[in-house]
Amino acid sequence: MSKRLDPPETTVTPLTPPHPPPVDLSPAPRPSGPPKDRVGYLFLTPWFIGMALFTVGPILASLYLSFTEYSLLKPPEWLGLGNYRQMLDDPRLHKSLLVTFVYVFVSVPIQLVLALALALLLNRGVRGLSFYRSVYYLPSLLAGSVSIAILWRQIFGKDGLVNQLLAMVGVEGVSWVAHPDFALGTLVLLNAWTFGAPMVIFLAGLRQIPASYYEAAQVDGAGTVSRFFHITLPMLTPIIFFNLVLQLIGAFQSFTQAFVISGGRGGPSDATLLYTLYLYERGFGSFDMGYASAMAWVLLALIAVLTGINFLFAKRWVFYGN
Amino acid sequence: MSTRSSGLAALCLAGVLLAASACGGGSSGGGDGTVELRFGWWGNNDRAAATQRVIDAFQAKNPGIKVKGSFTDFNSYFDRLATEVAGGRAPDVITLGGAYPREYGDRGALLDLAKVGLKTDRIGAAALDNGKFGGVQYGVPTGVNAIAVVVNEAVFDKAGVPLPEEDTWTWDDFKRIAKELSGKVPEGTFALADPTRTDTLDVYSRQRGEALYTADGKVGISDSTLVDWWTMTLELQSAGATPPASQTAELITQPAPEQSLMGRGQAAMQFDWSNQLSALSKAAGQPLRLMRVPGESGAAQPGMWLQASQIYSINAKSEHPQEAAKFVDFLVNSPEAGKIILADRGIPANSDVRTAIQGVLGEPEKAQAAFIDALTPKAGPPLVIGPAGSTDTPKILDRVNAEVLFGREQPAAAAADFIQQVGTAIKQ
Amino acid sequence: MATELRAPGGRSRRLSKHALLIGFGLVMLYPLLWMVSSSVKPTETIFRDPSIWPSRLDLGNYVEGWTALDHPFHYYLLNSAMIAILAVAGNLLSCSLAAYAFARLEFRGRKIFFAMMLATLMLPIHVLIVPQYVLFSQLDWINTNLPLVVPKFLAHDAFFIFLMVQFIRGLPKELDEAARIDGCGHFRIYWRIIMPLSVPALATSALFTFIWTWNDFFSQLIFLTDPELWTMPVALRSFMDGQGETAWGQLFAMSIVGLAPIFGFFLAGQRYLTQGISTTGFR
Repeated sequence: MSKRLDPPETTVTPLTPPHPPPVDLSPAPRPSGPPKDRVGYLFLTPWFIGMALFTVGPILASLYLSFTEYSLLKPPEWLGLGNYRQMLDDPRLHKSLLVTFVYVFVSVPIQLVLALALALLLNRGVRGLSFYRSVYYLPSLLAGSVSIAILWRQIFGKDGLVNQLLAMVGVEGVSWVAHPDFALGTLVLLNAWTFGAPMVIFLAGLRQIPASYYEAAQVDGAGTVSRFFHITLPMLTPIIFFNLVLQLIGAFQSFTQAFVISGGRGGPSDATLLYTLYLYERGFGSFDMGYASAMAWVLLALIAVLTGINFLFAKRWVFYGN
Repeated sequence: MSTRSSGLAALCLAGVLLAASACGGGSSGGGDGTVELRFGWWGNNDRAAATQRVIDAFQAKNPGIKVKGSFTDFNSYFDRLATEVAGGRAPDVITLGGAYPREYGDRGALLDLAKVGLKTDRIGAAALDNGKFGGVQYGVPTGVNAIAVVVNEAVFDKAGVPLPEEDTWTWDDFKRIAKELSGKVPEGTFALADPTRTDTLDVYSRQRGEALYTADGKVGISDSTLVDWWTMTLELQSAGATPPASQTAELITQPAPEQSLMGRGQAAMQFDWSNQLSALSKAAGQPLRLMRVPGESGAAQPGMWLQASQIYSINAKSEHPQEAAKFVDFLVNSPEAGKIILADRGIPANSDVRTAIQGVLGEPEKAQAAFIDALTPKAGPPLVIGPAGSTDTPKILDRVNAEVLFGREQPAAAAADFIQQVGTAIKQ
Repeated sequence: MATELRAPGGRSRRLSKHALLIGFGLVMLYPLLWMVSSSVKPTETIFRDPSIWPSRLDLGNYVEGWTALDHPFHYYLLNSAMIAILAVAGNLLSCSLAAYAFARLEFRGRKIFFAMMLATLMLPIHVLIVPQYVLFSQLDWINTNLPLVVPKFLAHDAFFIFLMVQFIRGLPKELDEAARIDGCGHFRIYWRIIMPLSVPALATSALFTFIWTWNDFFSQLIFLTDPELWTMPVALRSFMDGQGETAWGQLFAMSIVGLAPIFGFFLAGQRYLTQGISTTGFR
């Protein structure tokens, strides 16, 4: 779901200190006290209300439900840790975790490399930049539509484009979207295909690298390749990091595409059973919202841990400032 | 204002969640004494237009009752319905189908229709039984359907293969014909799509005196029946009578008639519900016909049955059960409504209505009605609808069937696997 | 600050680059082109004849699709537009207020609140929708636009708060310090100084909010059951019937109609989009 395009580079704030003004004219920080708290809380009032009413409530309700048996049709019944214990020996859950990990860790790098490559290509004085940018963003707009399943089959189905091309060289292809060995691969490609958002962000990042760096490098006689590795890439690491964190979280939550392409089944034989797909199936298909809620909290824990690890490693390779 | 109050809000919400299922649902009345009912159903805009005309006709006759339709496509419908039931706001009149009536009925979401005295005497007993569980009538059928073999005569003719003998053909005949076709139909066309679906397993096992589920809600199909079935379908697949495994898997994800092999004119036969005939004919652009499934004549008992195509139920928490019953009565028992709905929700289950609409049906609908009429005296006992949890069975079957067709599991192992998984699903 | 390096090399090299871009663009767009082509074919032939080149141009699907539902299709487009525009207004206002607090103000619990905000992005919608439905049902908001709009006015979209926090942090602090010395209160600083400087970030948020709200299907399906209130994505579903006939041609035609406004929105707003993100303090 490219919609969940969200989170953040600086979840843990210390990473990006607000960069200091060139000349600090500001008075010494005032001692913080209640009046200051009040101003902050005042500005946050809408968020507090929204959080309390629309977010924390449902989130805690889902936490509560994760400890119950809840069929949606009858009131929940307390179960304690039963759902979590059941997850330990649910082979389909384990399968879905495996599928999700493969999906996330293969598709996100491909998507980011594609996005970066296109951004580099588009950044270099191409006429009609804004047109190409829009064209390459289109798939990201299309990916959430109900028709995407049919469209994807036109490429990777039994009678799709790929097999028509293969037929020209005398090879009879299988239905790539529905073969247990390849179906996940087509989903990975689909996710990569929607590289529009990270591409736009890379483009923005490229445009803010000062020209003077390149000019200096040119004087030193650095070639294209060397300029890329010594200027472009290091200067871009914060943005690569941003996109990485953002797309990882998004990929873990991928749902719509896998859902429509497999007709809501995650098939064949669970080959494309993403975690969220299984969660949905349990919640709405099998009327087991308690179990689905428990699954959601495990997912939250997983994403949070991975995001944390991401931030830890970021210190080693992300290049902030000069 | 902060964490403490948010925590409180959440606790309230959890409480609300518990309470919601206890408080009234549906829509209530307007201020002027009129009662407003909500009617939930699935379908497309063509059905919506007809449904609105029925509602208008009902309102004209019952000035005190207003009906509001609410619909969406099949899959979204059930997501929304589950959410609405959880929120205590389900429609007053609920359309259901397959194993859903029991799924909802067993969990107390549906009204016992005896309490509102709904008239069912003109409705065929077999289809009526599809809405009855544990002696309680939870729903009435909108119409009658039967699983059938849809046949494209043009494909048979072109291949020079004679049509099967509908009344006497056996599963061996079926296999032989399918294989014969596979050698003679053009590239890309098949004798049929893989026939494995819960409905065909129902017929097949019932012919052997079993059924998918027993009356007391357990798995009823035997290992050996499943093994025989898969041995046959594997034979068809390797003979090229059915498509390769990956194409079958692809076809499963696109259930629309237009996307099926039959709908594209690429199959000679297809197991499907009789009411799909119109859509399939239109899609294929060729006249199609219905035939009874193989193996009926020599069987221990006939496997085919009359199935309620859809079921109208009343929300157990409706504030206006009497008015809701009045509306359901109009939908299923009134010739006036029948003349608008026609065969859109199956051939009407009420015999009076069926007679009334006879003259206004189109060609494929007439063929459907004739097929149902001919089947009625020959049908087997009513189908035992699966218990709560059995809405999972089609998905389980798809998974296990894929394992078999891709050669990853032998029929014997698959049979055990299927029985075990269904058993787990219906125990939950 | 924007650097455009002129590609060295002559005309032929530029041409080959365009060829590459167009070629790759075509691969990217093949499904879309197929959809456009199918939208001008009669429904029955869409799956029977899979070639991408329609034998003749037939706009019937557009005409019929537009009028097939209870209301003409632009009615649903307008419903969608109204929700999307309100969502944009709500997000801009509420998220910027919260962002100002997180970026510029010191108060107790700031870090915890910030982390809480980000954590809200990690739970899948399917387990939240039922509690949300119960809540909105108790408020009697079902079948109104309120569940889709009010949360936006209460800073419900953490992504945009975060985006704006990043942006405001990048603005030189001496501007507001100077204003403070002149006796401006926080609200004036927020409104008179920070907001005008944040136009690119606001535009970015507006664009994404619009696109995502426009495409959102699930919550609109659940909260709006009355066909009078249907939005574009919900209306599109009524061309389908998972069990019977689907008006594929009309479905594709109206999908393209539904795509056009957001594509237009993107075309018009992308200038701000790149600008917005590039100044959002990635250093």
